Amino acid sequence: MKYKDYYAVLGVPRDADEDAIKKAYRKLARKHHPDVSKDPGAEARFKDIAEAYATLKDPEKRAAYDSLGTRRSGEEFRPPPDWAQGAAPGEDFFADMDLGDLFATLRSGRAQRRHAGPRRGRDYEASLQLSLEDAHRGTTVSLDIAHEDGSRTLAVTVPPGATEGQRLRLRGKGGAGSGGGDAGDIYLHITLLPHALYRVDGHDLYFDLALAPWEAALGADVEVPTLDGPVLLTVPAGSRSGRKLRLRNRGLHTGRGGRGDLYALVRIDVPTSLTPRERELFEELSRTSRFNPRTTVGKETAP
Amino acid sequence: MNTVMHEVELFDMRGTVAALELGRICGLSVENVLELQEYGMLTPVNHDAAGPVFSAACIEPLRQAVNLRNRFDLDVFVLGLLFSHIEHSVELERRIRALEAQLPRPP
Repeated sequence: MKYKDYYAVLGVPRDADEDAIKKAYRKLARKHHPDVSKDPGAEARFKDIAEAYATLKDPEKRAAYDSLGTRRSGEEFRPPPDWAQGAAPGEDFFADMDLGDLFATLRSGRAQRRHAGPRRGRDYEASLQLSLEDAHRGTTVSLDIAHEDGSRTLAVTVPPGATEGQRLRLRGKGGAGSGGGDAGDIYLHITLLPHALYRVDGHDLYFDLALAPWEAALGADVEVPTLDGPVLLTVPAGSRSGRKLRLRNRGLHTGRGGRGDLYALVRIDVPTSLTPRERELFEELSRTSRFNPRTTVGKETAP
Repeated sequence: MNTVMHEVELFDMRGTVAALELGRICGLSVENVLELQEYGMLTPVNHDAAGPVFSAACIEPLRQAVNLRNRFDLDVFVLGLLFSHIEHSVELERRIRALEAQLPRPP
């Protein structure tokens, strides 16, 4: 078995107290956690740090570790024979253990057989980007998951109803359990790709509906796009900018048999250049209309 | 390469989850889940014969908090504090997404 200098891994002296060990671990864990560090060796480094801390934070394990004496990292050594709990005569109890395994199983000064109790397998997390249409209709995606026993490709059927920020679980597809423990799960974190037309809020969709001033004032039937194809939307007369017009059940599938809603956000647009006739009509409207869009603002700000 | 089709389970945030299952999903013992409940940091939506039942909306923030707990060797009380803050952040992020969806795009 190869010796590892856990104190050196954590960068603390051999007489460091519990607080100093914890502080050193937290500092290193923050620096080298694979979620934070982009260094390709971060995962292995973090594993070493966690292994060192798991032993040194436990007074009994630390005392047992200290009893091995001071050695060079990587030096071959044999653990004391009386640490082998339940070893058969002549059996090489420590044959396929490393130092981390040895201390992980050490109880009352005795190493237990590996996988002595049921231990649940590791969970894995991955992100999954879906187009809005795929999230709505459901899809099948091929995922490469970096597993502890190598990379694994999974074909995953995503049911209709997934949306931004949601989690999907592949039960039992994570790391294998040991000692009769359950396998872990794989969690997929859903993000939706930006859509050219729609914006997403849960299972509701929003899009901008540009209206001509006369359509907004007089009302109009306008064709609008939906996930199921174009439909006619009746814009009520007097629709202001910012008004939300709801198309019930035209949003994303909820995964519970229903649908979200689709909202058209009214935005009044004006022609950037006018024909002589259009100018004439707008000027006439300007002369005859009593409408003042700033009346409300004036009232609100008046002292 | 041979691939096998796998069905996934969608976590419906409007659903509920029992203490045992919540602990399993988040990597906590039932005792830890109940301790968080005792501290008032995890509030059940109701109780059934098997015990308290929690909103599935707490899964995501609780998993994040447990991740931090495992990474930095934190105790259950600190885990609960983290959970409360992450839950608050998740709710604020949800509201921001909702408001952004309602903001018109520049023409």
